[in-house]
Amino acid sequence: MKRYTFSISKANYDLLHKHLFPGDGDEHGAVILAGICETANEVRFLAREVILAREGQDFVPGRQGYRALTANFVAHLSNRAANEKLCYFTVHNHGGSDSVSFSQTDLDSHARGYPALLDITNGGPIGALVFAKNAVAGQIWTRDGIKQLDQMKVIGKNLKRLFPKPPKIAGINAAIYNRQSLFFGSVGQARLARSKVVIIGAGGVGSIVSEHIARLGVGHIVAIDYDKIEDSNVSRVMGSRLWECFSWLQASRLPLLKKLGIWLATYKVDIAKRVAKQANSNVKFEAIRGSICSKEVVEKCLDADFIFLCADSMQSRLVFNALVHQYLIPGIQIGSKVPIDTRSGSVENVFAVARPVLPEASGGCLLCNELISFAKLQDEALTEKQRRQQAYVADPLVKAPSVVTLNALGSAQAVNYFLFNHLGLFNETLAKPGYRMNLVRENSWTTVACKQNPDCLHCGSGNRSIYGRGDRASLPCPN
Amino acid sequence: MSPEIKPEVASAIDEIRRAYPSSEVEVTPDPDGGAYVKVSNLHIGSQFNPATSWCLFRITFQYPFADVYPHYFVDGLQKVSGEPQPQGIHVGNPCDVNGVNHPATMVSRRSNRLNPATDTAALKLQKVLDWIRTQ
Amino acid sequence: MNTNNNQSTTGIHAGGAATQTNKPQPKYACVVGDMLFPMPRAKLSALTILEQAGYGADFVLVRDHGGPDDVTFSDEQIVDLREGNVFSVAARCDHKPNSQCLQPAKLAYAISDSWELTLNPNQTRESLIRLFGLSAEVEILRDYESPQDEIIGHGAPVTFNQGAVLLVRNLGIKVKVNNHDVHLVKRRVTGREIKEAAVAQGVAIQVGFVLYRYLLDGSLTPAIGDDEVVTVKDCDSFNCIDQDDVS
Repeated sequence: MKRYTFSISKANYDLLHKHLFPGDGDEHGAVILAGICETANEVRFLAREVILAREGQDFVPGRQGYRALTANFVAHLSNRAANEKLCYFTVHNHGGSDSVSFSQTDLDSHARGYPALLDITNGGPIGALVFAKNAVAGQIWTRDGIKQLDQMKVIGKNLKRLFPKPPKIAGINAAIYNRQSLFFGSVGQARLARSKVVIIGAGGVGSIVSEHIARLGVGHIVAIDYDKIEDSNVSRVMGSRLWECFSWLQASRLPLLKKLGIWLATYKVDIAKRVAKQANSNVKFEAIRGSICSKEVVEKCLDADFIFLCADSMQSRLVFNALVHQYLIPGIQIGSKVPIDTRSGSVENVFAVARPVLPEASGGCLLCNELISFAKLQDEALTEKQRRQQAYVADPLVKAPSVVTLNALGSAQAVNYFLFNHLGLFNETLAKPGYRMNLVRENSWTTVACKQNPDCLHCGSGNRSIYGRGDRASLPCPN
Repeated sequence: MSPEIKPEVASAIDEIRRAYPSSEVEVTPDPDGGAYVKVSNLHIGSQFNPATSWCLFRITFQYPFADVYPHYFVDGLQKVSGEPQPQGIHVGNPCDVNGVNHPATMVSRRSNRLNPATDTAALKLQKVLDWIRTQ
Repeated sequence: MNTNNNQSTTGIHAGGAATQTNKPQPKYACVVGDMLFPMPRAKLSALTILEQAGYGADFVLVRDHGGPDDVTFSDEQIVDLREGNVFSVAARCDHKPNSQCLQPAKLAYAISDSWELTLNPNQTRESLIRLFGLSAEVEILRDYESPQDEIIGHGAPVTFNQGAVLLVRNLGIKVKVNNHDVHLVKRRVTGREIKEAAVAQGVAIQVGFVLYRYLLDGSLTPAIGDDEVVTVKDCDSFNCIDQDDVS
């Protein structure tokens, strides 16, 4: 049976919470327009926009209840939902703190008016949410019947989960996790076991991330890479062995043996799987030999809880950034660079970085922070022949320097970020905004602030933005 | 059945049609969801022979995040005065459309500060035409 | 109440004599105080009309000629609806008796429970279509007891005294309410009529919901009141929802 969940950014949740609980102990109302993500096991609603109902104008004394959202308010917003292919959710609050449920008046109002709303929104789904201070209940209306909301996730620096009533979670007390459970508890361990994490790229950075999160006890890992191991990778790819590169065969002058060597070489994702299983035999590990830029692969990532970007291409950055903002999935981009002056050959500033990307304003959007080169993006779409014709001038044969210890710096930072984010361990008042960059040659760290462009097509709130649209917008992948 | 053009690319093509109502706009989808677009009957300047040309360019599936360039004009474009070609204009540089070469003159004007929120394929075409008309 | 059937029909025809005939009898109706009431026959007492319209002994019946000399009837007087079927009422103590008026009486034609006023007793199918704002594709039938309803052909006369109670079917006006097709009986309809038709045709709304019309750009008009008359055309689209009560 499918679970029904709701994801909302912390910024939108705070806006809503402040409106519903201003301290007057009264009821207040709002509407959320949401995108939707449907996978085999889950239907996830994605809060794209929160519209607050104005007291006395949009939220008035009710005919059959204490209060009501006016017909005008409902009509215009449900019409917007229909036009923009979004799901319409009514919101109001009750008193209380850790548990909440709909009153009979609420349910009667749904029964009266929601069939019409389903028709107006072309089958919706539509629904209602009722909040207490630390709880939320939801009723979702679909053409296939009425469903109940399982939980809401507030995506911020700390992931916060809200339920209709406090859930009973059985902790995990396995001996292998004993030392880390002393930090975040057996319930935290259980939360890790239930999480699904995507790793884009299983090379020097991705292989470290994969082993670390497997050892942490993450229950479901999806690793994506189309590449096979080569001998130049072995110094950086965790668990790789020189013999599985079959480089002696690939070095052969005979084309058939060369091809055999290429065919026999192990895929990086299969190495990552082997290492992860050694660390945690219970892990569900999907080793995907493919590219994140392919529709079939990206569809396996839509219900992830966290995404690590450990690949270099601009296209993978674009898809990653789209996933974060279109599907409200927190993520982190990891990299290290050893820049070399091509004229003098000298090594410039070496850095390692892990850039968190959260689905909200100033959340680290790669587009807003100019981390996606549009020129390189277009070049990546060309064939070799087209690049030659366009006199594409880059250095295709020159590879950038890459060192395992520098990769480890960024990877560890990133995995720690995931751990703290997922288990709500950050000290929100003290945690600095932006991200930290390790300037290795200077033996120092610097904090980099994040920019935001309100017109951004990923994280912005404009009509053309894909923010929170989920399945109702297309991802930047080729057909 | 021809591949489906992505909605963002289709919107870009619609905008080109509206911006150039007296031109024929031919569209050839590429396999990834982008399209090759050929806009006919564009005046490029009496300093050139011919003074009017079509313009062919590719809008890739990554649009609006990928720049639209280069732009291709009729092959053999020459300055009437006999002067050498300005920098950025490459005669005899064919355009590859889905693996098939089409003789053309390539004009390469990369946008260094692309803003996906505002820079459209129609706007880029106008900028390229404005540039070539001043050469 | 008379019943009409194929085998034996007893009715009061012109002149008031009861006869037996095989011809089906037309239905009759009158308007009293701006409301339409079916009546059992063409000739009946003023008191009967008052009673059927729900007026008590304090009122007298007045036929509407549109002027100061409207004809008033005593209770026992026989009223011929074919001479005019639009009435008002006056307080018995106030009325001035008047038995004659030079102005023609107003006539109300009724089509499928809607009515329109005219002074012209010689209508045709086409003039009635224009009077009621119907689609040109409709069929208009003279309303006898079904299945004897008689289709009125193109150009055919529909004279008042032959029966002014009619039916319409095969309406060409199809609108959408909450994305569902709804067929309407006429072009000028009130908000309530649209909602009632939608409810009758299975749309999941209630008559108490609020109605809006979609504009071409997809936005909504202000709410359409229950008594507000709008002119509809094919493919018009409406949104009808309720306020959302919470507690």
